Amino acid sequence: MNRRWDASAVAKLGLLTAVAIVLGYFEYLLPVTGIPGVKLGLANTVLLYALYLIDVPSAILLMFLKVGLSGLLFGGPAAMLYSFAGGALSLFIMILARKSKGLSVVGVSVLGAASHNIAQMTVACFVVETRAILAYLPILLLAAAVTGTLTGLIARYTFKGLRPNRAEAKKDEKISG
Amino acid sequence: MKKKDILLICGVLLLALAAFFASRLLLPKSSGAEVTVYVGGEVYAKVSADDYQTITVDQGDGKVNVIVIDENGVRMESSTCKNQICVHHGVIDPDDANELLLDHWIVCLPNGVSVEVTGAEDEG
Repeated sequence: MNRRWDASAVAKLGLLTAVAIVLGYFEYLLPVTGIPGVKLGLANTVLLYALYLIDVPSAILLMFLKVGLSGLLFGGPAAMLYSFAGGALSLFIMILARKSKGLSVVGVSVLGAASHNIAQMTVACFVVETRAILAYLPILLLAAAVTGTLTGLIARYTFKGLRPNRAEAKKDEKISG
Repeated sequence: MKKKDILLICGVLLLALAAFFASRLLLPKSSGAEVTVYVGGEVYAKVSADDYQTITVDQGDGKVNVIVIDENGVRMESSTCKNQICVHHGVIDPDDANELLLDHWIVCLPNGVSVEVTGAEDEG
């Protein structure tokens, strides 16, 4: 077996998956924003944690687990399709954005939120077969700027409190910028 | 937060603004209302109520119906039938089509032509 997947890594990923699912469900129960389709995206902070403080493969696995399990538990095939489109594109964009030296976790989070919303809306256009949904794009982008900044800030301060060990401390410089 | 983060957030906000104006320009005010013309029970034409036009249904045996869609709504302009009930029906405003439970049809029984106006579907 790969050394990366030792018991502690598996346990950590399991814990993160649980936290991500609970945060996602929490938002589903309590729509904070009051605008349909607009969520705070708290689960994304967990994904950001995996991306910044563990590694990219863990983040990808976490995204698949979160989408799959949330879909089985609360949504359905349709909801799973939407979340997968959003999750996959936003994670891909965030992996790329993290490599940019100029962006801190806040910027990465905003890009993730925006690409998440764009991907979901593209899927919606194909499913419902109407371009009228595009009229919703400005609202979703505006929401992404706000929620992305908020979750990015939450992630940033969470990372500060959750510094796993000394070796990881170096990564913090990149995060807080 | 770095400078580029703030630039990025401004960029996304600008994009939202651009998308807002683009959607205003690209998507003309569409109520989603539709007009369906049936001839002898089959769909002859299905058009948007925002798409102002005149539909002439000529069945080739002297039965001709002219349906007009304009800013006032949908009406039967003329019909070759005897009773002219369809012409006297008047105008159906697509915006009210959902309110009009049974009255969103213009029917010409002699010619077997009927026009259905369906209002904007409000989903979810």
